[in-house]
Amino acid sequence: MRLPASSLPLSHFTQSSSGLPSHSDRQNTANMRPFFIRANVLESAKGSAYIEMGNTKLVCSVDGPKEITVSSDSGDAYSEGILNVRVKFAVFSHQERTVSDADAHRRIGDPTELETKLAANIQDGLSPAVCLDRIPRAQIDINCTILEDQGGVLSAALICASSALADAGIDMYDLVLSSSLAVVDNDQMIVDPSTTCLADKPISGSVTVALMPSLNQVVTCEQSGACSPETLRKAIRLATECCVKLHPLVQKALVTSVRLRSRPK
Amino acid sequence: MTATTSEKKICVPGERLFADGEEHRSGKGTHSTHGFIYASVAGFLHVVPSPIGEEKASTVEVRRFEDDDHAVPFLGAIVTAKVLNIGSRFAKCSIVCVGNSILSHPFNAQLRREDIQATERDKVEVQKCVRPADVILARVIGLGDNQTSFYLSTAEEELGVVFGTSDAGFKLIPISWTHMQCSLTGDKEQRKVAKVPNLNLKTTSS
Amino acid sequence: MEVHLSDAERVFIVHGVQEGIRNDGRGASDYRPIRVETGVLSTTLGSARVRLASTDVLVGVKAEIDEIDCKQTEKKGRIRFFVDCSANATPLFAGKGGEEMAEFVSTALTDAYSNSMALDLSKLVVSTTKAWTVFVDVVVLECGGNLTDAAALGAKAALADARLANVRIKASDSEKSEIELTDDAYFDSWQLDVTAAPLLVTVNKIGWSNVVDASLQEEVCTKSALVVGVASSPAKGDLVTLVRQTGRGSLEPDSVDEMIALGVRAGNSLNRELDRILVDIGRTQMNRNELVSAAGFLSS
Repeated sequence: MRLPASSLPLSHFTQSSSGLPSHSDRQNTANMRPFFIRANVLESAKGSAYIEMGNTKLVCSVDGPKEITVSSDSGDAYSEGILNVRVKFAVFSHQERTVSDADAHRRIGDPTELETKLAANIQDGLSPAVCLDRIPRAQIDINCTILEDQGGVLSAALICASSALADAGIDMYDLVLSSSLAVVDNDQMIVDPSTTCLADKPISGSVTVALMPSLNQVVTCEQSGACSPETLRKAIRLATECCVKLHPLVQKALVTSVRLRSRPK
Repeated sequence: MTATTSEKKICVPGERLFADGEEHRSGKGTHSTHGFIYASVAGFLHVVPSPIGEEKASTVEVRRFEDDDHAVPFLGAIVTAKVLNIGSRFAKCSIVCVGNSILSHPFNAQLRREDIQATERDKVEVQKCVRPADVILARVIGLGDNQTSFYLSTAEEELGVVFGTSDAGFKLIPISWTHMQCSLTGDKEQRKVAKVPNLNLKTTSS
Repeated sequence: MEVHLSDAERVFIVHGVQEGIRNDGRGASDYRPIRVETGVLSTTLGSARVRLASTDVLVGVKAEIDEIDCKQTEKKGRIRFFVDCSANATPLFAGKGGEEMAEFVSTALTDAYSNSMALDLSKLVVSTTKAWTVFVDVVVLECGGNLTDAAALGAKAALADARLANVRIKASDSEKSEIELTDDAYFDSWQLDVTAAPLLVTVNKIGWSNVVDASLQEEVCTKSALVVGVASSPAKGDLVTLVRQTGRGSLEPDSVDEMIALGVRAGNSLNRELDRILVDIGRTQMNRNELVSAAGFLSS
């Protein structure tokens, strides 16, 4: 059922305030939002993880390795495995329950433009981290469901998906950690911004960096907006430093899940 | 949880374990990069002394559970497969287990006519060696193309049909390397029988 | 896309690039010969054809008047990018093939143009409730490597070539408003200002070296690449409008810095050259009194 073209949500007329504590008045811009991660949260999935970064919440499940079901551009037989990522935004994940006109003609059940783009980004970011040459002719299904989107979704999804893969026992070269930051007009940088935090500031650019901490290899480097090359270099450096801070927390979550799994039932 | 497991260190992927030198070799669940051995799964660390004759002193492995766990069929693996249907040139199978581990998802495979037997390979008739619903032990000999994932071979004595179903629908018992007998009707059927050790070959079992 | 290389060929290319020698004798930051033509399609408001060695793309720009999204605080128009990889480019693109590639290029273009400096979208507004939506359609006729850069060149050239008619909206008694055009819509038109529009530069990592504008064989030897969107605005100097990492490999943090720097250098020289060509084309067109039909352009 399509909404009438001229409907407007109430939030359009009122001051947007979520009622939950936000970080719009953070003084120290190098602080990240409160972070929570737990692995092995879904009984039925081979591997799963749940993450909260501030108010952004998402859950990820992993299945496989299984027979390849998706067709791909490469014509030759698969000598390496592939990742098949699907992303779904819950209907209540955004402030406004709207269908953008880019997606007005899609069928129910098909992914929206944003979901397709996010899935491609996650696949690009995780492929270097998984030992795909050890699972030839197999695919791993990764399903991400975003329960609440308050900024930094790509970062959260990458960390959550890599933890879910590790929880499923899939061979990986290293974990993937990620963080995002926003560059506001006077070249000031805010690390791990939430949507409410940026609501009234003019953003000149946003950067997301993902890396494998032990091997010190960048797997995703995304920037949009418009910034000078010098500002961009500083932003990437700052984001890389912040990624590494999350490493002990993710390690702890995985160690706990291994311990719980090995307990006799 | 045994006492030994609780003492063992738990690793996460990417954790640096040892230097890849003369003492340690990287085994299952680890990978070797830039001269170091890193864990590649989240699990318990096992340092297993290598058998005598190996150049390195011990093998480093990271395992989630005590038994060996395989996720996908690999080249050279002994697999347990179920025959789905047969044609004149090949039999289509579905790999269910790899070694001792049961796979969470089956993989399609093909057993070609020339790979069933080691001798007289071109004179083989597929229907005289395997039939649909048979359970076979086979070895993975190659990766396939778009239609099929793996190629299998039963061209060894220990490989072939382990469990068969007769035309009448009852269990088949092996009576020689080329024939099996239905347990109820006594009809003989041709199969390529596997030489599984300790298999009870007596025909008088009911 | 259907290039198969043996291991020996791969090693040959990788070692050569690491020594600074590419198969066709280019340097690391050199582009292959580029030909840009504008005004090649009569059914569009603006069009361009870009040939980057054997990569051939055709870009058409159309515009429609649409409702302004009432949820936005600032009134502005929209720009949408679509990429279609035709089966002529390579047999692999027939049917659903080429979708991944097309998706990647259109997302890269959309994101590179999504900042406020690239195009002044507020100029597309025609009334309080209506604005132009500009559609940029890229058709890939032949793929010879480095599709992203060619598509971005074509998009910028086609947008520079596009002429939007001056319209006036009259409110009428019925629900629909009336659109007024002058008699000669071609001459009573205006063009978009694309001086700050970005170009995309794909920097490929081959071995331990970085190269720009990879050929098909070099693309097969690339494990990881960085697409950099470079624009230059007179007010703010060089700007980076997009960075996207692609490929199955990972990069050292220092490599990322080097690749972005190389991308910005190459992008700047590309921007300067394209601006010069577009100015030349604009000057030649002003001297003509009629539209010249581009007959048989695919044969040249």
